[in-house]
Amino acid sequence: MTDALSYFAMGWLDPWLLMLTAAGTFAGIYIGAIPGLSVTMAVSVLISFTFTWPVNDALALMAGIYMGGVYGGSRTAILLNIPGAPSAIATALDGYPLAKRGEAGIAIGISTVVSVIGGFVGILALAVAAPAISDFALMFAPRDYLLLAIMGILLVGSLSGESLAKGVFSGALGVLIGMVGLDPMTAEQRFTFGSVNLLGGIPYVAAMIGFFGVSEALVQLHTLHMPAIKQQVSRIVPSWKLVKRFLPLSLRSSALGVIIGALPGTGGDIAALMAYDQARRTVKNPTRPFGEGAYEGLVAPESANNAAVGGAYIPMLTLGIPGDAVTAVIIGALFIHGLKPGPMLMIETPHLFWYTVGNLTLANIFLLIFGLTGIRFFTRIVECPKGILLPLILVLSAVGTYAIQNNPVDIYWMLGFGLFGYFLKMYGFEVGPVILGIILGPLMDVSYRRAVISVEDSFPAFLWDLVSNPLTAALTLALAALLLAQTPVASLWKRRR
Amino acid sequence: MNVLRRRRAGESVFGVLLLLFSVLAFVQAYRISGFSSISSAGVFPMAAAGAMVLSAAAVIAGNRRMRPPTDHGGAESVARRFFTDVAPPAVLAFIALVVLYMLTLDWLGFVVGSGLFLFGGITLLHRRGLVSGLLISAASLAAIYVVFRLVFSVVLPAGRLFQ
Repeated sequence: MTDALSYFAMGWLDPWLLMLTAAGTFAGIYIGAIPGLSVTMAVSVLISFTFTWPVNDALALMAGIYMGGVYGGSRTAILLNIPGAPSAIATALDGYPLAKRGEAGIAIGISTVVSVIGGFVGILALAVAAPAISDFALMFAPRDYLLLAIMGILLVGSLSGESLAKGVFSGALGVLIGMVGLDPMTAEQRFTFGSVNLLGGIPYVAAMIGFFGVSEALVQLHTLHMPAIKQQVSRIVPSWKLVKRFLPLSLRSSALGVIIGALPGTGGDIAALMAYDQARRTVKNPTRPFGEGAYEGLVAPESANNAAVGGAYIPMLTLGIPGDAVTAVIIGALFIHGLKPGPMLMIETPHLFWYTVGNLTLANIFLLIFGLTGIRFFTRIVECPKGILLPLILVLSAVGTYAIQNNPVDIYWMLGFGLFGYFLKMYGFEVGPVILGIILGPLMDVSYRRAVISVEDSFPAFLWDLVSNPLTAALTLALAALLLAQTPVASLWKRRR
Repeated sequence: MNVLRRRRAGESVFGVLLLLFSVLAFVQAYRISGFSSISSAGVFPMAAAGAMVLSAAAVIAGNRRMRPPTDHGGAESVARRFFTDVAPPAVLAFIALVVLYMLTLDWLGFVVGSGLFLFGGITLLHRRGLVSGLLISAASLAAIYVVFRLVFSVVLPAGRLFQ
């Protein structure tokens, strides 16, 4: 316990780490607030600069950016009706009508406070649940990891894309990219075309920066000259009475956010939309009708999306399976720092877990401070023209990719993925599943083959294993339900009901 | 009743290209170890490529159900739509600049390559004149250099041209 506390406080007592967490949170808020600059883009571009840093420094910065970025999107959703990040889509539904009524200041204040409440609920869940899940995860067989990973890719593909087919394609493409190089079990060459450069695989950070940095920047060119709408913001700090009134809803939505965030493949955006929907169905007397400026429509998604941050860290740290696209990028960073997220991480390096919990808590406190101050400075930054911002992002993307191995070939990979990602996005494909596929592909491959080898290469025995063990059977059932929910059978059944 | 969205110009061609790519990937995956064993090195790549083939085919089928990109049809009007909606000239010009920058970065080095790219990019997109473009790009370049090279000690491309 004393050890855990000392690890928890490590980031609080070291001025440099404290500064990095604060800087990450600050940068996250502002990057998340700029429409088109997602938190995934920020994390993937910025982590490339941290590979030479000590792991604690890199983790401190990442925790801040993630926490700040998820919250930052709400600002422009309220002020401009443009969600700065996907997790703020639901926030705009009632946030912007509030701003139009001249209540932008209070709306921002409330969203800040409930985001912080949600953040604390998520962190608490992480601190309590992760050690227990980690112990439980030691019982997981390779087949269970395989099922969890497939579920993660399918969830992110089906929930956030235009169609299941496009989600599956993106996820499978990511898996294929993750397969390039030497097979980890037999050292056979896969998709190397005889090139020595491909033996080590495709650098996944180049893929991440290409898909999230370059392609997003290119897509933003289509909205280059969108006029900025300026809003008057007066008082920000909400009254205690108001906070007290929305506290039960905030806690309820936070609990939902933690659960959604902890599901492999689903993140803050899905959590926020589900919490909004849940609030609309359960709140009897909202301040105003939903969609016309109800504070409840702001409280629910903002609590849930920040609670999902702590939730997303749970499968990442305990199972090595990313909760969403941002945690997929963070897992990539942990690999490069020589760490292997999964149940053994909690046993071999418990200090890292408690250090992360401490950092997230610290980032949440900074979120409250930065969220309730500096609104004038904020409006200036958000008004920074995209004509300046986009070339800068591309320079940072190129430099960040080069910094990983000082190899110009990585930049060409990044460029190729960026251009491909641009067309994928233009035609309605999500790039999140690609990244999840790249990270989860090798895990799925090894898990599947270990599972099959354990039954002496007998496919019927492998299939029997999927339904005979209670834990595996539950996961198989969940996966089958997920697949079935995407078929016409499910919609037919819903219509009949 | 659901009203299907209009197909974007070039979406059908993109779907077919994805299918072709997926089929090629499947053939390459098969070449790793064929169907020799269900735990061989090629099984999972084949499964991934197979999923790509099937989903790309489903995407093409979905595209066919959508309304066409233009009401008048004809390859010429679709091509015009493509260069308006998907790849307008400004986007293509910027993409060309990005490609040029990234391909020459190792040769020109960070300072010259990024300086030229920032100046070109900001002048093209921000459109406030050459002097404004020059000042903003110089200030941005200096800020990036100070933060990443001097504060965080990130290795930046030195440039083979000047060595």
